[in-house]
Amino acid sequence: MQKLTSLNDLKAIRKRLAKEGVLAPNKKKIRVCCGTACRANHSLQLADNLRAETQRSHEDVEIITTGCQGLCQLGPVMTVQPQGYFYHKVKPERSGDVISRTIMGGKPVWDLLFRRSLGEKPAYFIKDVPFYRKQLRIALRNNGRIDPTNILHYLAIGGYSAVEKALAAMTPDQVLDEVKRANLRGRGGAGFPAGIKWEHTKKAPNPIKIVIANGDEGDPGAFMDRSIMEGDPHSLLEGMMLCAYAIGAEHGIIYVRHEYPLAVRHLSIAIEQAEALGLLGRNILGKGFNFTVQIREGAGAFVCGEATALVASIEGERGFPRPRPPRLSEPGGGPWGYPANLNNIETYVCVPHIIEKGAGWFLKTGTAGSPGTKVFALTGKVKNTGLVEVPMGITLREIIFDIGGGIIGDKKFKAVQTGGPSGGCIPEQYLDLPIDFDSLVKVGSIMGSGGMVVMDEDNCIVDIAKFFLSFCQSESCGKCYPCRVGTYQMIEILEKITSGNGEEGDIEKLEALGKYVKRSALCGLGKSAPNPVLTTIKYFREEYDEHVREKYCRAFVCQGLGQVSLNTDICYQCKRCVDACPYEAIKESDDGFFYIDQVDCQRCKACFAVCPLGAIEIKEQPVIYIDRELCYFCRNCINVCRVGAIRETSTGFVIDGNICKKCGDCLKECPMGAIKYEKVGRILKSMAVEVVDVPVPEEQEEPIEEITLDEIRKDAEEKTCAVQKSLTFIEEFIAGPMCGRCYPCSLGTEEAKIRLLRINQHLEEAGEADILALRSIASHMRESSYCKKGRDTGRFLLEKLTSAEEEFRMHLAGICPKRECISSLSYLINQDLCIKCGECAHRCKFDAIHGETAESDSSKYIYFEIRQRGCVRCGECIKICPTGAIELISKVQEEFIRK
Amino acid sequence: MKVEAIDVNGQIGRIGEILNEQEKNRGILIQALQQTQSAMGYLPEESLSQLSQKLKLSLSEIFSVASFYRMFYFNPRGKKIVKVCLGTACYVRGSKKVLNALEQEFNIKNGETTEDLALTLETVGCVGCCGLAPVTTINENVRGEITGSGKLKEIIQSIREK
Repeated sequence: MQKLTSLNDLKAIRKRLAKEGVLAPNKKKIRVCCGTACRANHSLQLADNLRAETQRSHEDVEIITTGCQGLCQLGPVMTVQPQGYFYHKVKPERSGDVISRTIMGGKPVWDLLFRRSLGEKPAYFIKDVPFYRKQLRIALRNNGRIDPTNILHYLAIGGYSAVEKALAAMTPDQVLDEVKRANLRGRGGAGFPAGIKWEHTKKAPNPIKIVIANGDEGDPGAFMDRSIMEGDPHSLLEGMMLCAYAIGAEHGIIYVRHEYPLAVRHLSIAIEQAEALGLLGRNILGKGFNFTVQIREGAGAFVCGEATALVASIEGERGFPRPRPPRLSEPGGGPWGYPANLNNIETYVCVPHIIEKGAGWFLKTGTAGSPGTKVFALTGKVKNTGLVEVPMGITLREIIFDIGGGIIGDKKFKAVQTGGPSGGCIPEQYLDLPIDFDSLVKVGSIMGSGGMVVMDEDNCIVDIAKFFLSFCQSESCGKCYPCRVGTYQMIEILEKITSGNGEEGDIEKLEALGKYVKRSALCGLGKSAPNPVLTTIKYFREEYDEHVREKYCRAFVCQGLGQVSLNTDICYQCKRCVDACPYEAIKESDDGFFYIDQVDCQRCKACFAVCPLGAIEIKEQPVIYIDRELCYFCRNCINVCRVGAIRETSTGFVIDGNICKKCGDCLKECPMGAIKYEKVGRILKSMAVEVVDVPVPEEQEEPIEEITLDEIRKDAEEKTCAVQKSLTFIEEFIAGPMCGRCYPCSLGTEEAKIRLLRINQHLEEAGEADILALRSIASHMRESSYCKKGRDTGRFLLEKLTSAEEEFRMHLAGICPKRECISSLSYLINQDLCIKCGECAHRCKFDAIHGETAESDSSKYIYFEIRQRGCVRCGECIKICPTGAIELISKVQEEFIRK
Repeated sequence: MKVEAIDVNGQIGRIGEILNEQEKNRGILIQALQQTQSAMGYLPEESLSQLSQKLKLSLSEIFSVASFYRMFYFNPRGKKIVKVCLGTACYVRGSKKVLNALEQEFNIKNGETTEDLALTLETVGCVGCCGLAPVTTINENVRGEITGSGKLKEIIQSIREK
């Protein structure tokens, strides 16, 4: 190729191409989509087969391997010119049919035409396919028309004419004004007007500026940038050239994700060809404009899509974002300190049109605030997935139901997630919302890069929120705390909820954390990371509540929620579930049916997935409780329970709902029918609602914090023993007013508490040293605590130590003179008073009292005695004893009596 | 590609005109690491220390950069690298099941390599083929719409061969 040295050369080459008939409309040609998705369906082999067939048939057909044509799901797709037939799902072996029927015969291949259903007439041309009908292609206009690896194709369809126009007749300021007037908003997510950004960069005083295209498209579910880079790389180069011309830059960098090898290949071919033709390099088209472009490959870090992190990555550093200012457009902001203009791929691709056709033309499409079109990657549970370019202001319903063809299997639409992991979930009620940058923000989501993931009733919203958050969490660079720690904590809570361990208040905690992270994270990634969680809580609160309160996931996604049971009426014993169950929880009963053992079942739902008949049912977990009116403590239920969920308390038996597996064994075993099985979890819900309605939180907690020292002193003085007094005072001080700010107080009180407990409990290591230590702690606190609270506490302790020193020493010997410290006391039965009624032995829960009740033959019975090892001094026996025979005696006295 | 063969000026391109020596060396660091890795399959410590001498950067700085980005590996990897996409679209269509099945089939966990260095199993955020979800890539080849067990078996077969 000869280098073009002037504008006339460019015109001449276009004339030559037209003469040669490159891409002429009446010529026979087949455009085969060779985007990544169609390649996966062997479209390259299809193109090769087509080439071989044409040679064999001696037809003059041009086979063009184009970039992504949009309808990825029905690939490989192709259009056949000059008739314009649109074929889908063309397998490589069908190439012969296409050549013989359409190219040679001029008739369509019927079964390759698109039909919505068998009964309907097929769509012959691309404009008849519903997927394309509502689309308006500006950014994607060349995708699917040209061979991206051939610059002549691009020139033949009028490529580089915007650059030609700008270099010939416009000053840089005019180019800038045109873009500004068109109000082109950044397609990368935030929607900042590109013209204003360009102007900022232009105004920076540095003579050297850099143009950067951000192709680090990391959002899962978005692939429009990839399609453009693969299918129309020259448009991107042209857009960047116009930007460079407008702001006076000479260097351009395209930052491409590492995961897009094909995009890198096509871009480097495009740059090579443009340099060979003299459209890049020095003195472009003889107009004295210099511009070069380089590709930088990313290395697999999502955060590098953030502008400042991207710059760090270009410089060869770790991809950490940094606080702004300086902005990229300011001196010191861009790579190596040069001011830089950074835009999204899609933004640059729109520029050549604006320059070529004028800002007025661009303003005619879209809405007033957001003119133009936007490319969406429509994915998820829709019938037609793929790339969709629509004018701004179209409704979500039109995109999902008209273009996307509705939900797969005509299930119920649940939500649509826009803006990737940083966006939000939009529920059904907003389906008729006209979408542009501002309207999406209003409903709590963002436009983002344009990912649009549709979810149906089979998707659990909590699980989806967890998925997005865990993506952001794993991609967090770790520089700032709110993002690194906050998102981790949020995932912990979500994990808890989805595994069936959610508690009341978890959702509120999530919301609070989300708001903190949103407010305080350093970069866009962190600031938007809680968005999916916050929007789903906002719109799908009841589903969260269901997970927490009823332990039920209505989409049957979350493992560990709901109760899995087998409906024996439907089951025909194929045993698939038995094989699938990793926990061997599906067992055969005596009558030959299968049943699910709830104790072994981990609710993984593997059986649910394999059952061909739908005999496995997932229901809300039932509630099992013991009716205390009926229970007569036979302990049968305790004996039969395999998980130990039934506990004995002072008021009766209780089933621990957290441990209980709801297997129902105890139900069968109870002779009284005291165990009730409430099938509907809603009862719990109504109960839970009542609990929630009680205003527990913060307001009540505050007065507790305000406990004054006087109150504590009053409490402490109620005790009679000096050791107890000091201990109560210290314990309440630690629990209440202590702030922990100064050491004498925070460490001193803890140490004092330990020493006091030692004395109080009469432990072996208690000794004289403890009293000395207490004295020194108290005097330290009195002298050097920061505030009056601490000094007063010290003083109180010191007072007690001085006034009741003898009492402390007696404690060391195991005597509490006031008979208050339990450890230095024992219970003893005064045999003179005991009438041998046996009440105390019945009442004692710890089996510490032994003896025989009085009988007629008075010589045989054994005295009632308290076994000190078993006794925990709970006091129940004292309460029950009718004669007051049980006495408190300090240990030392007891030993004395025994001797 | 040998570390000695890395051409700093050639790599950095025309933008090198506006950079000093140190900035150029640093600027190509990620590219140099990528090339080393594509030649060796991973980043052996030896190559990194050679790189550190070549680019006049301390080894710790190189480690700091290499450990930040996800695509760099310090351990040898399998001959076939299978990446299961866990992007939103694939996740929604059940790619977790594909991952579980592969984990069970080859008895390795996500991110591990089989002992005979035949296979490395990984997950990826999104390969941009959401139209074909759920997607798995074997080396560079994309396999889409892995919905039934038949397709899964096909994939396991193609991983096993050679």
